[in-house]
Amino acid sequence: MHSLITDSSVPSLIELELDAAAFSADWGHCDRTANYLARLASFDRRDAFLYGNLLSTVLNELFEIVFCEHQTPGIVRCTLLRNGIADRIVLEIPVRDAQRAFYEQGVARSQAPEAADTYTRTMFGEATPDRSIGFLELAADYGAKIELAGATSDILQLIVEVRLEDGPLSHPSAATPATSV
Amino acid sequence: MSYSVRFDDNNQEIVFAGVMRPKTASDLEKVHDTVSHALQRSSGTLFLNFKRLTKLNNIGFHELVRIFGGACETRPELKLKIIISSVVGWAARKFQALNRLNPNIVVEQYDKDFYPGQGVLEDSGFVPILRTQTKMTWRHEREMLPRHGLKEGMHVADICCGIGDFAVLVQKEFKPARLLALDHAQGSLAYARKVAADFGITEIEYVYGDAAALLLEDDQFDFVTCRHALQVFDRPELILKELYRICKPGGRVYITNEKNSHCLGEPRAESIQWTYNEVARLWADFKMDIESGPKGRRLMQEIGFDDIRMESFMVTNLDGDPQDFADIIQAWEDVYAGKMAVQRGDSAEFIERFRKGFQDHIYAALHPKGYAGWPIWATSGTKPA
Repeated sequence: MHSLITDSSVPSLIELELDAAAFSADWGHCDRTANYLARLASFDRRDAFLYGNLLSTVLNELFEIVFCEHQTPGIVRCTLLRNGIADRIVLEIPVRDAQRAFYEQGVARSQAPEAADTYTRTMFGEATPDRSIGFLELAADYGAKIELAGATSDILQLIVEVRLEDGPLSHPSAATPATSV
Repeated sequence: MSYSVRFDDNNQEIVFAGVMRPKTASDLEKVHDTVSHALQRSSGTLFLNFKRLTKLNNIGFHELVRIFGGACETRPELKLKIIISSVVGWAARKFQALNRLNPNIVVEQYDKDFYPGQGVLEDSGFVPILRTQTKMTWRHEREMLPRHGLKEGMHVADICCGIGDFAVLVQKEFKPARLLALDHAQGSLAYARKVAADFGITEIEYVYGDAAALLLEDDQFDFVTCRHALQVFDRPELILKELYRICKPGGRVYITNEKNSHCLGEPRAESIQWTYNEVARLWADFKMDIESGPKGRRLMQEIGFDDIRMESFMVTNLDGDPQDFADIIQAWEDVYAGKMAVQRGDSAEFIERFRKGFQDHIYAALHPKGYAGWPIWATSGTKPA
C-alpha cells in the first residue's frame, strides 16, 4: 500500500502558518481560511469554481476539527501539495495525549471498511456527532485517504489526500480510501 | 456562519442560502422556527430549496436531518421535496442519502430537466451550427460591443456561454483582464474547454453554473454578457437579476435575443413568414420565448438598469458565404420540425408545411437575386453606481 507519510516526492503548492490561539479565537476563521486556500489552489483546475467549492468543503471540515482539538500555545501549519489530479493536505497540529487519541480514533474509523455506513448511520442518528465525523465524511463521500504521523512528539501530522476532479492519478492507490497506514 | 432561510408562502418553499457551517446545532434555531412556520402553512408538498446554499458542515446537516425527520413525523401526509443544484459539488454527495431517510422525502437535482426545451437545444449535433451562428453574428457584434461599453482590460463574464466561441472571440478582440465563461451544460463546457485548449487559450475561466442561481459574488464584473439565452428560459427576469447582481456598480450588462417571427426572405416570403410565426408558437409551447428580442428594454428597466441602449441587426445571406446562412436554417428545420414539432405531436401535414417554410428560406438565401434575414436585438444597461 502506498503511504502518504513516506512519499516526499509531491511538490508543495501553498503553506500557511496560524497561531493556534489566534486561529481558535473565532469559528469564522475556519471558513475564511478554507476559502482562501481553496481559491488559491483551484486557479488551474478545469472548473476552478466547482473545484474551489469542493476543496473548501474538505479544508473546512479539517479546520473545524482542528479548531476543536488542539492545544495552545502552538502553531497550526497547513501545507497544500499537488499530486497530479489529487491534492494532499498536510496539517501540523499541536496536541496533548487526549487530543492525539481523538485523532487516532477518528482516523482509524475513517479507514474501516464500514466507514460509509457508519457515516450515514451517525448522520441519521439522534445523538449529535462528535467532531471526528468529518473524517468519516471525507472517506465516505470524497474517497479521501487519511493518515497520521508524528507519533512521538507533541506535534501531530494529519495527512489527507483527495481527488476532486476526474482524471488519471499519479499513483492509483489514492483513488480509493486507505484501509491501512 | 452566515446563512439565510426564508419561507415563501406563494411557492410553499423554504429557500436556504449562504454558508451554513454552525459550531453547534443551536445555531440553527432560525431553521427550526422557519420549518415549524412552514409546516403550519403548507399542504401537499413543501419544497426545500438548497440551490444557493454554498456550504454545509456535518453538524448542520445532522440538525437538518433531525428537523426534516421530525417534520415527517409531525405531518406524515406532507411530502418534502429537497431541491439541490448540480453546481454545488458537495450537495449531491450529502443530500442524496436523504432519499433513504423517509419515503416522504424526495431529493431532486436541479438540472437541465428544469429548463423546458433546453435538452433539445443541447444536442451535440447542434454544435457546428452554433459555431456558424456566432461567426455570422460576430461580424455585427464586434462593431457593436464598444457602443455598449466593452473596452480592453475589463473584467468580463459571459453567462450562458454555450460552446464558448463568443468568449474566445471577446478574448482575442478585447483582451479582458479577466474573462469568466459560465454555462449549465457540461457537454457544451467540455467542448468549449477543448476548443480553448486547441487554440492555446488559457486566459478564459470556464465554469459550470446555473445562470438563475449564480454562486458568483456580487459586484464582480465590468461587463456581463448573456446572448440568446434569456429567450430559452421561462423566467428570464431571474437570470437578469443575477446578471445585475454580479455586475459592478457602473458596469454594464449586455443581452441579445431574437424575434423569429420577423425572420424574412425573398422570394417565397409568404411561406417563410408562415413558418416563422409557427416557430414562435412552437417555442411558446415549450415555455420559451423566441420573440423576446424587443422586450429587452422593458426587462432591463424593470430590473433597475440605467442608460439602456438598444439596437437591432439583421444577419443575412449577404454576410459572407450564403451557404453558412443556409446551414443555419437547415439546422433550425432539423430541430424545430424534426424534433420539437414531433415531440409536440404535430400532424404530418403540419410538419410538411412547416418544413417547406425553412426550405423556402434556404432557397431565398441561395438564390442569386434572393435575400434572407434573421433579426437580433441587443440591449445593454448600466447598473447604477
